[in-house]
Amino acid sequence: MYTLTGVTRIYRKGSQTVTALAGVDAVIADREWLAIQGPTGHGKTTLLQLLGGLDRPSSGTILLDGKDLGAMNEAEAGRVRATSIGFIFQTFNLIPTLPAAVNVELALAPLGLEAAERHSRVAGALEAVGLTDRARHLPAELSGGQQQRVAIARALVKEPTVVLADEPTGNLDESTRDDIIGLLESLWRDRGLTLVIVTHDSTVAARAVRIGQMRDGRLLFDGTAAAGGAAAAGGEEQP
Amino acid sequence: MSRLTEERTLRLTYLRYELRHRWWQALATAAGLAVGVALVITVSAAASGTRAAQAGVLGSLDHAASSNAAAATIGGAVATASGLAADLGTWVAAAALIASFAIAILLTLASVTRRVREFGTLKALGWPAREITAQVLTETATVGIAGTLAGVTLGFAGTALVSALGPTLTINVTALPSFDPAPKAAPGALGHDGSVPVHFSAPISPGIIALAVALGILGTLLAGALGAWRAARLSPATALSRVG
Repeated sequence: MYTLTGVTRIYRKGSQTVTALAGVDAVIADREWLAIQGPTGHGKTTLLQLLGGLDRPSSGTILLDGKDLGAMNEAEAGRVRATSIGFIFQTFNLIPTLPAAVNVELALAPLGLEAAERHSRVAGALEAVGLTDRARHLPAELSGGQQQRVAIARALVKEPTVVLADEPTGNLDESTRDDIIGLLESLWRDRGLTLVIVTHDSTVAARAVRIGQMRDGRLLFDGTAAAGGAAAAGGEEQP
Repeated sequence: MSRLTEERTLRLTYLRYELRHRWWQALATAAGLAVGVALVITVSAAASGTRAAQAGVLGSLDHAASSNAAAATIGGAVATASGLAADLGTWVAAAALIASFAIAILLTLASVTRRVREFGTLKALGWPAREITAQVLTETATVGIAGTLAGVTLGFAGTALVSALGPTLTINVTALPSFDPAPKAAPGALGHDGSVPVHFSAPISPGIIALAVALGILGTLLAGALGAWRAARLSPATALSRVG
């Protein structure tokens, strides 16, 4: 479970400052599916990066299962990402020189698993996204939808509790978008994931359990800034 | 297998695919180092050959007339000329070496810059900085060792070429005033007409090879350390936001 209290993120460039997040308070319950919408430049991606420990807040706390991600150094946050958080990116971010299976396997490198265990998990993840027969293909040999499936397999292979997706369907056509969201929905249900998706697409957001709106660096639920996400999510459909 | 062994195995898999699909970048870096190493060997060997030829000429003059003032003057001129040639060779070798280091370092840094998003992705996956550093160093070391070995091979070929094309000098000491070949002429040193051939060759000593290999490794370490440092200190959020 995430608990965000007064999270601000201010970027400084020379004498200028830009406030990307201006005091975000929120609770994201375990196994919740939260969609975050909002115009470009209002802090959606910044919030996702803070939830993933990729960046640190200027002030405020981000508790993930009681541990403050914002207070961790890079090595500690890296360990949390390696074990508990899976990322899915708009541009897939697959390594172009590596086959699908090796791209997925890279997510297991920090865990120190034996090769047999790694290969078994990679095979399972690729099977879960329906790409067993594409394991040896390079990203350039796959369609956009297939590349995103590989990226989903990479996010899931470590068996995380949280998956953070930044515009996961932004580069896909409508039909492929529906496939990918359907896949994410079934994985969220089957695996009991906490899923946070940043999206411009209202069709994608409508599939989520709860929708938050980012406006001027604040996260709003139903028009008001709200910290009661867990309570709100508690009455929603849970896997 | 231990955790470290497993990490190494996966790193080598990564390396294998990187080299297979970005071979032309690796080739360019290796070629830069190879040229530098080869030039160091060839020029150093040629400088040794110049000094040997100088010794040969001076020896001939000594045979001819060690106390002769003209011989001493000519000997001094030969020493100065060969010294200049050797100095020039040293500078050429140093310039080649600096250029090859610069090429290797620039290509390595360009590769890291091009792969910023890739390293950002690895950080998002939880790869620790030391593991990314190790990956970059492994890649650079592999390319650097290949470039150094290729440079040594090229250096042997270059010195063989220099020896094959090098002139054979004929010193005609009979033209010197007060020449008296009889008292000091060593058997076989001078011809009946007072001339002596001095063959130019470029000998490769183990010291030259050791120097070239050491410099190649130094260049590799410099390039790898700079590249790895740059990759490891990237902020994951910044790296991931990089377009392209």
